[in-house]
Amino acid sequence: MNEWQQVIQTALIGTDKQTISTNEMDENLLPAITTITNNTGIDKEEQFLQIATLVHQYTFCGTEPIVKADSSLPICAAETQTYCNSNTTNVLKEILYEDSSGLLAMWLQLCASKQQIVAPVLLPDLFEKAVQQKNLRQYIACFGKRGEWLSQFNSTWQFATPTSDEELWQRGTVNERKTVLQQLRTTNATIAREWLQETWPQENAASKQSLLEAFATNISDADVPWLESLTNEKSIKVKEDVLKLLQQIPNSTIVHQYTRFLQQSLLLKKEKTMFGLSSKQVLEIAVPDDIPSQLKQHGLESLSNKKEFTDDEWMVFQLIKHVPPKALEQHLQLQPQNIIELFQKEDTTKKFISAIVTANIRFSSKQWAIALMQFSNVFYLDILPLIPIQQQEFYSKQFFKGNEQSIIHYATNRDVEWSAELTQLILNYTAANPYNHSKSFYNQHIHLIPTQAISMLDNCTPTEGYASNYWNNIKTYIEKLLTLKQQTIQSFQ
Amino acid sequence: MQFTEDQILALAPDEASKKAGKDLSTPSKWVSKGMNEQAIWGECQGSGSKPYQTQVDIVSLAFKCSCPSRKFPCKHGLGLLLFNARQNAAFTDNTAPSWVADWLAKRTEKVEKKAEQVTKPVDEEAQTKRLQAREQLIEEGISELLLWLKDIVRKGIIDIPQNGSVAFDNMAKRMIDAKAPGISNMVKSLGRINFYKDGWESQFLQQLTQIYLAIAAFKNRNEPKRLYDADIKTQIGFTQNQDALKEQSGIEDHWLVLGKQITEEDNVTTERNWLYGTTSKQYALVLQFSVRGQGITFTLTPGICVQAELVFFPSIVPLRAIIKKQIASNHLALPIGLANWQEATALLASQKTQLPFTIISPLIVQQLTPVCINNQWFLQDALQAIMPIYQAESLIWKLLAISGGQGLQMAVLAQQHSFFPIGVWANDTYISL
Repeated sequence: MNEWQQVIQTALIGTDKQTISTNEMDENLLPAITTITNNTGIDKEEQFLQIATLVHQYTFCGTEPIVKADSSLPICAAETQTYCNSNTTNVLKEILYEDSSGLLAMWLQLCASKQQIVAPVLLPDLFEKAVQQKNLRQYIACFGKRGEWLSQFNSTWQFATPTSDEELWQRGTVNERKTVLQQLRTTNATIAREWLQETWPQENAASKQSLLEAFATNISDADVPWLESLTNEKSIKVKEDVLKLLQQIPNSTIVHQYTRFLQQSLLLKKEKTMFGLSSKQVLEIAVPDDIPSQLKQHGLESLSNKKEFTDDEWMVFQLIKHVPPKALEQHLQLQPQNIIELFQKEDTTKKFISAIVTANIRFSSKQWAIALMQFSNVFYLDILPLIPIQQQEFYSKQFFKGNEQSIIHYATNRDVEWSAELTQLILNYTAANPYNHSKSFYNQHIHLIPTQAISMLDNCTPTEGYASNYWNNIKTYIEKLLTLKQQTIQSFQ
Repeated sequence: MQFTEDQILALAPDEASKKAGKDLSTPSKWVSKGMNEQAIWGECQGSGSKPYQTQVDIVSLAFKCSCPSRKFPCKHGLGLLLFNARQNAAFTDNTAPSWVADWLAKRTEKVEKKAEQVTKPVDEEAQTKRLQAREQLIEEGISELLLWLKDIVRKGIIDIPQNGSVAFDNMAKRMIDAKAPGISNMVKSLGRINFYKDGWESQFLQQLTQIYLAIAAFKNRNEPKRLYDADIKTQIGFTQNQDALKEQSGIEDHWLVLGKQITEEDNVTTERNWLYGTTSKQYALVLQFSVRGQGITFTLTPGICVQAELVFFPSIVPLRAIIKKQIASNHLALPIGLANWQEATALLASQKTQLPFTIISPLIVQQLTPVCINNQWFLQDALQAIMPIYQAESLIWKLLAISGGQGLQMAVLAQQHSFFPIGVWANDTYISL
């Protein structure tokens, strides 16, 4: 025990119960301590205070640094890319200060596209953001070698340490494996399937469900044999998830069964009109009595629970929902436009259009999405993300009134900036209801708002007068974000 | 001189001013703007009918604005400087308008007048009487304090954490009554120790010895050599007449601002500026106080170098100083710090030998690298010797990121034997932490 520890020991217990022991004190201190203890003019408490003061000064003055030869950190490798310039760095500082997730992702995207890297001093702040916002991790290259080096010292920043996909797949957490699988499905769907096939017997039901979610990316005919081999899985939930995947593949057995049964139940017939002088094509519903047992098992209902549908119609409605619209074309030998018009012609068949829309969303056919947008009498919002961006803009503007919330929802899910006209419509609406669209809305989606929107802001006003102060605050904030966006773009030019 | 954005933002009195200043750093906010070698000026359209006239003396860094804000510098001053830092080329007008020229002329006049001011004659007899009365009060107060300290050591400190801070606060108030505010602060800090943290006993006892040292020093203040007279007075809490101090000659140097710490208590904002004389190699602590944004005389920001004359408060180890005269602000060459921890601890030991009271000492040490040993962070020098970092969590990642495993010259504040980094030099640029 060193001298200072002895003093602390006595201080803890108190001089009433313990006298400080001078036996183990450094011999250099002893003469001074003896002088103190021999001073009868002061009591033992003051003697203790004097000894404590003396020992503290002595210890402080004698403290020397310890040499730890084996504790040095590895030196970070030299950067191969160039750092961003000071202007760009200052803009990043501002973005971090404003805490705008949209602008931060945009800044990093531009930085990555220019193959530049972030100034080291800002890396800790960026890492903390990337811990919260996983979408930023795709720009990890912008963190440079310094980021890679730094991440090894902080367990929450490990995502920056390059680990091979295979290693992560073998040893990672379920979420990490899911991310790897999802990524691999986009680049090499076959390898991804083989990896999952290999580990499938060792996975528990929960991880199987989670990994199947990732497997849905780029699902194709090639996945059918393996997925169909899983229909006898023990877990009901896994079985349901497998079935959902199979229902998305046009060439799976189940979809073929739906298609065959629909072909038997929905017929195109010629009907004579004008006392036999003319004829027209009509759709006839004639559901066979023997419904395939497998379809029944998969939830096909034989009795209608909706008053506008007869039992047979309800059956056909369900079948259309599960059959690729392309199969309808082959069955009816008609183009999408003709099929839509055929269904819309009669009151009894126009109600099936919504089933075609559901099927189209399931099988993601761009051609059918465009046809439905063009020729359907009803505007089906859910198809919006399936059509090309220019058409999305066109229909969003055309049907904005009355569908504001849904159109804003789809617009915010895009990754392409809004047009000036759509921006004006959205800003007019959000400004009219500032309490529903606060600063955080603009913060998240500022990357979608064009910079020329600054000039539109003065034309936007809330519906209620009392909200004008609140809106003015938001307006200033949007101006600030748009200025930062403009500065970001300019600084990378 | 041109300031960096970080340096400008470090001038802001609070977060709100920083934010507001940034908002005003865009061209659309300024009706007119201009700059020359001495000043930057601009007219900012505020809520009033007339635009606010904002001007910044860039030679000795001073602000003036016609806005009613009590904050110093106000958001307009910060906004103008930021605007200038970002778009220097936009400041094409270099003929100062009359309101700028008048202000600059008045500033020069004021400095000259100050120099001419004659101090009023002092009634020495009355002063001595006042001093004796105060010393009497302090004597009584510290006798009571000594009894209280003895009580603590007699009973033992093991139960102190359970007793709360009331006893310390009461004794601190008693010391205020005894006109010993310095001692009062020391007593109050006993109650602020984190009793949940390992090692509180050592910290508590260290503070106790410091209080005892101050008591003993005051009791022995009349010893023949009177070497410690000024330091004892500082410990007790006697104030120093700054006007008298300014009459003395000081050290003129290029003073690098190493760090700035701002604390607020009872509506008083205290600004601690740590300076280093690049020629004299002298460290200095310049304190400035402000109440409701009023009272800061000199605008200092980390990383800039102020050419100024500093007068040090009398002490065996002079550290605290006042700025007698500020001549200019500029950026200067890299200082050369102590070579390693061995030199640093030797310097601290020598200071402690001369002045046993605890002080916070600024130091510049070369080639320091953060290292982690048993989940604790240290700073390692070129000879691989280590010393602990004080409150490492908030700084360590920034330090590591800048260092990349390489040694950095670092400005640190030594508090006992823990070191708090306040800035580093990377690529010959000073980065304030």
